[in-house]
Amino acid sequence: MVTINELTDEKLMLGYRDGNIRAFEQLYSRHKGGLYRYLLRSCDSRAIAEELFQDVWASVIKARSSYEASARFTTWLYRIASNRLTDYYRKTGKWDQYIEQADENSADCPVSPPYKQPEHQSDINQQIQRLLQCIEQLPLLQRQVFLLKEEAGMKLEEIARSLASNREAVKSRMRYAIQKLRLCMQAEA
Amino acid sequence: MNETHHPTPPDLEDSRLSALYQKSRLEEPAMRLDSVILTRARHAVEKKTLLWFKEHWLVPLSSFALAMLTVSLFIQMKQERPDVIAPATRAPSIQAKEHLKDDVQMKEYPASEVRRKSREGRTTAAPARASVPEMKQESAGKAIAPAAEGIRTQQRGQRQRTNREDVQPGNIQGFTEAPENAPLSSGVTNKASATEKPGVWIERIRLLIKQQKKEEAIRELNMFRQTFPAYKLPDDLQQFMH
Repeated sequence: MVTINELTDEKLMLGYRDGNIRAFEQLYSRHKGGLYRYLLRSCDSRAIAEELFQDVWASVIKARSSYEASARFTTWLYRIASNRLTDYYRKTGKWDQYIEQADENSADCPVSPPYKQPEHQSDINQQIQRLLQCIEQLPLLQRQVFLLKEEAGMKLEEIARSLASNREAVKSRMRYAIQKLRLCMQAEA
Repeated sequence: MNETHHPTPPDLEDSRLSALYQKSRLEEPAMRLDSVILTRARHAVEKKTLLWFKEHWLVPLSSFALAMLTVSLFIQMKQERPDVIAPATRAPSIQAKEHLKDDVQMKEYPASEVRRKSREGRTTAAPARASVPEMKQESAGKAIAPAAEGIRTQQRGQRQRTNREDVQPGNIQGFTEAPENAPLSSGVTNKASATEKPGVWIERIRLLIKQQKKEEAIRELNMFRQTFPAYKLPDDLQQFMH
């Protein structure tokens, strides 16, 4: 017999759609951390991230009756989150900046040298803090692509679907993001 | 869900960056947020369940309850007042059986009830039984069907008329001391004589003889004999029988 822990996200969501609250609890516990960090690192403040986090889950709850397992649950969840982020940036007038940063040309991006590998725990903590600072400095679209890969474990196609974009654009943004992070980390070292 | 995953190019993958980032994944939403979201999810399901119940079961359940109430009321009324439900539809044989049943029941009722029943028109099509259950029903039953209520009102009116007749002096004398073997109504043509006490009737016959109305006295005497065959005639009246 399959336990609730072994069920896929899609089956859990279908279970919740049919009135099983345990399925939702399981689904929430699986995705709350990743989604929260994705929102936290994609916007300006913790308060806004929390507000958006609640908003995304409220949308999931509201849309449960129309949910069909035609795509991965994660893709659907992060699509809602990305839409909420877009709405937030548009509302606060930061959308233009968001687009400009994302449209950088790959030719402007220098090839980054390999950065020094940390040896001690204190070094690791420093490196983590540095990485988070570097992520914050990334243009928003590149940041989103990187975070979706790391937090939701998505492939390029899934990221493209979540961001309502195409695979090539996502691939390009990912390349920029990696190069910039390497450069940023090397500069610190 | 059917999708082709292309292998990630090396410039899009940095294992060291990924490993470092995975170690930074420490932030979790506050417990207060968990509570708010899970409560909202639970309420949404409960609301849906309630809505589903309303949509699917409320009307059928209400209809069923209404039907059950109607049927139980009908059955109760039928048990307590079978004559009220459908007097016209019952077969004459059933009505005759009920008359017999009435006679049996009358023996169990107080003497005053028996007298009242005997005075009420026994030959009427629908017997107005003022039985004990009826009295019970009158006190308890406000939830009786309007049709039954109408019939009962009619019967009440009939009973009141009968009671008014009872008050008249002629009827009060009636049958109060009738012998047990005396028939109540069969073969009686003169209702006034039939309801008289035998002693009173005998005295009336003697008065007729005294007034020299011999033929009328003999006729009354014959009628008396038919009505009370077991009653022993006084000696002075025996001679008129032959």
